[in-house]
Amino acid sequence: MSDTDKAILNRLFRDHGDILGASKTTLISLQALIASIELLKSDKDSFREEITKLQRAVMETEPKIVPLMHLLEEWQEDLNKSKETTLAGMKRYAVRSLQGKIQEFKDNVRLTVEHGIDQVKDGDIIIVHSSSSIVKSILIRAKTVKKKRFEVLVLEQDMRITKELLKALIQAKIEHMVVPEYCLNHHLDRANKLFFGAVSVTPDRKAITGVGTSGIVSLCHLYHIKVYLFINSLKFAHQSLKDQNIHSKTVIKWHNDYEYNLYTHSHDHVSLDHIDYIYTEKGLINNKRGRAKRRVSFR
Amino acid sequence: MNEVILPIAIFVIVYVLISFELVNKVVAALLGVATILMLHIIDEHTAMSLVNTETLMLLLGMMVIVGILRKSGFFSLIAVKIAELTNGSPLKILLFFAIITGVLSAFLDNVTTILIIIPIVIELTIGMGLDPKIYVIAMALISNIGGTATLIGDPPNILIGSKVGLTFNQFIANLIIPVILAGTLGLLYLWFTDRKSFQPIDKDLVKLFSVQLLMEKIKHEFLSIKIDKVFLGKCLGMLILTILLFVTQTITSLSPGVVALSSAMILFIITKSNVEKTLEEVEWSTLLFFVGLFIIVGTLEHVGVLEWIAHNVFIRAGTNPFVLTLLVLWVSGIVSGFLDNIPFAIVMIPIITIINQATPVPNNILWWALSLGVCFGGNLTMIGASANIVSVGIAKRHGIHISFLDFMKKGLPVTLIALICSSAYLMIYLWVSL
Repeated sequence: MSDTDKAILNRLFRDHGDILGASKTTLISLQALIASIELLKSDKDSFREEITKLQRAVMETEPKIVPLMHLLEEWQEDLNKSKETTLAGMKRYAVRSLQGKIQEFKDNVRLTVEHGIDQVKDGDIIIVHSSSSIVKSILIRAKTVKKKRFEVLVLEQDMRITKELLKALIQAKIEHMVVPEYCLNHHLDRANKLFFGAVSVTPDRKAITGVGTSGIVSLCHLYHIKVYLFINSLKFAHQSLKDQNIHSKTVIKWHNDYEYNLYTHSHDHVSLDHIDYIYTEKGLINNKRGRAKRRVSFR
Repeated sequence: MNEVILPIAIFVIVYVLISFELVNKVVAALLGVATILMLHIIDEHTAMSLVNTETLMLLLGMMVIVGILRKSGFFSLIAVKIAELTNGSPLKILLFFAIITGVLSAFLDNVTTILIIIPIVIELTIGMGLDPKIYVIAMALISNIGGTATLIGDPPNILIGSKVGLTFNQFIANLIIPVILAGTLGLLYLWFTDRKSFQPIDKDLVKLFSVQLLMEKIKHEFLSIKIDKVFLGKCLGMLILTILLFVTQTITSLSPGVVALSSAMILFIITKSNVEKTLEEVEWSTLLFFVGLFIIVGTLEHVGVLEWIAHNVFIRAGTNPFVLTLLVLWVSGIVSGFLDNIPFAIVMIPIITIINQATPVPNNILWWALSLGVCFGGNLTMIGASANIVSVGIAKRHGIHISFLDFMKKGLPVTLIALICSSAYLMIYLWVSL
C-alpha cells in the first residue's frame, strides 16, 4: 500500500470519526467493506491477499479504530474456517460474515444506549461535548421514548462536530443551551453530569477521545460533576496509549508578522481515574485501578 | 466624421478595459455609455431603445428560476448520486460527471452548473489521490460545449436567439449534432492523452474501501440540507413547464423572455421564497453589463460602423457561402478564446445580419456558425468563458493551482476538435441546403 493510499485512508477515518464518532465510523466502515468486496474484481488467490492487505491497512490507521480492528480480526478467523472454493462463494461467505459483525456491533451499541438512558434523570443538566453517536442516541431516546425532562449544555467546538449534535437535539426537541467550550466554568454550578464517548480504552487506563475532551473531563472531575463514559466493549484495546497511533501534525501558521509552528493532535487521552462511571453493553463496569486491565480483555 | 470616430474610439477603449480587466467590466461598459450620452452621440431615448429587453427578461427569469431551484438541494443530490454510480472508477468519474455537466449546462447557466459540480468532483478526486486538475478543466470545457446546445445554455445563444428570433427548438435541432460530436471527441482526447491516470481500481480492495468511505463523507457533506419534497416538486414542475413553453414557442407565440420571467414570478409565489434573498443571487452586474454593451454596440450600428465592417471585412472575403460560414465560425472561435464572448456576440449579430442581407445563406447557417464559434471558442483559454474562470477559482480555493498554460494545453486541442467538427457539420449542412 502506497503512502498516499495510507494517508487517504487515515484522513477518511479521522474525518468520519470527528463528525460521526467511532461507533458510527465502525458501522460505515463495515458497510463500505461489504460494498467493496462486491465490487472487487480479482481471482480466488488474490482475494485472500487483498483482504490481508486491507486488514493490515486498518491496523495501522491513525488513530486506531479499535472496534473495527477487533471485528476484522474475528472476520478473518471466520474466513479461515470457510470451506468455499469458488471466488463467488468466498465473496458471499465474507459478506455474510460481515453482516453478522454489523449486527453484533449494533446489538452492543443498542444495549449500551439502553444502560445510558437509565442514567438520565428528570431535572438533569447534562454537559455534552463530543459527537458520540451513543451519547446522541441516549439523549434522543431518553427524551422521545422515556419522556425524561432534562437539559443539555452543548459545548461549542469545531462547528462541523457541534452542528451534528445540535441537529440531533433540535430534531428531538431536547432543551439545550450552547456555550463556548472555554466558558464551561461559568456553568459548573448548574450542570450535574457529563456524558461522553470514546474511540477506545487502553489497558493503561486511558480513554482515547475527541480533541478538547481531556480538559472538560478534568474540570468536571475537579468540580465533582459526575463523569459518565459510554463505550461499547469492542472498543477496549489490546495495546497501550502509545500504540494507538494518535495522529499528530505540525502546521505553519501566520498571524500578522508572526510565523509559528502549530503542533496538533487528532485526539485527546483521558485518564480513567477522572471518570466516575463507565457503561458498556453489559452495564456499569468496575473502574477501580488495577481492574480495568482485566476488563479490557473481558470480551 | 466625429460621429463615426468617437463611437469607435469609445468602443475600443471599453473593449481594452474589459479584455485586460483594467477596470470592472460593468463600470467599463456603463462608463462607455455615459461618455456616448455626454458627447451627444445619441440621446437617452435612443440609448434605451437599443437595449434588447427580450434578452434581459430571459436572463433575469432564468437566474431567478435557477436561484430558487438551487436552494432545493436537487442538484447536489444528483451530483452525489452520480458520484456513487462511478464507484470510484476514474474513467467513470470523468464520463458521468461530463455527461451531467453537459446536460445541466444546456438548461442552466454554465457558471451555476460549475458551482454545483466542481466542488464534488474535487472532493472525490482529491479524496482518491487523483490529480483533480484534468477533471476540473474537463468539466469547464464540457460545460461550455453543453451550453451551446440550447437557446438558454449560454449567454451568446440567448443574445442570438432573442435578437434574431430563433426558437428553442431551432437551437436544439441545429446544434445538437456538433455539440455531441465535439463533446464526445473532446472527452476521448482528454482520456487518450492521460489514459494512465484513468486506470480502474476494481482490483484493489483498499482503494475500493477508501472510495466507499469517501462516498459516505461526500454524502454527509453535500447532502446535509434536508430536501423539502414539496418545494422540490414545485421547482421541478415549474422548470419542466418553462422548458415545455420554450419548446412550444411556435404554437403559443410566447417569447422565451416572457416565458422565463413569468415562470420566475409564479415560482416566487408558489414556493413562497424570500424575494430579497433570491434577488441577491441574481447577477445584476451581468445584466447591467449587457445593458451597457447593447447601447455601445447599438451606437456603432446606429452610425454605420458595423455595416462598414460587414462590407469591408466579411463580404470582401467573397460571396461564397462556404467561405463565409467558415470565416464566421473560425473568426468567432479564435476571438472568443481571448476576448469575452458576450460582447463579441453582441458585435457580430448586426454584422451577420448585414452579411445575410448581402449574401443570403440558407437555414440560418451563419447564425449557427456564430453560436458554435463563440461558445466553443470560449474553451480556448482560461479567460475565454466565465465557466473557465469560475472553475479555476474554485480549484484555487481547494489549493489546486491551474495555470493559464495548464488550461490551454487541454483547452486548445479540445477547441480545435470542436471547431473542426463544427466546420464539417456546417459544410455538410450547407451543401445539403443549397
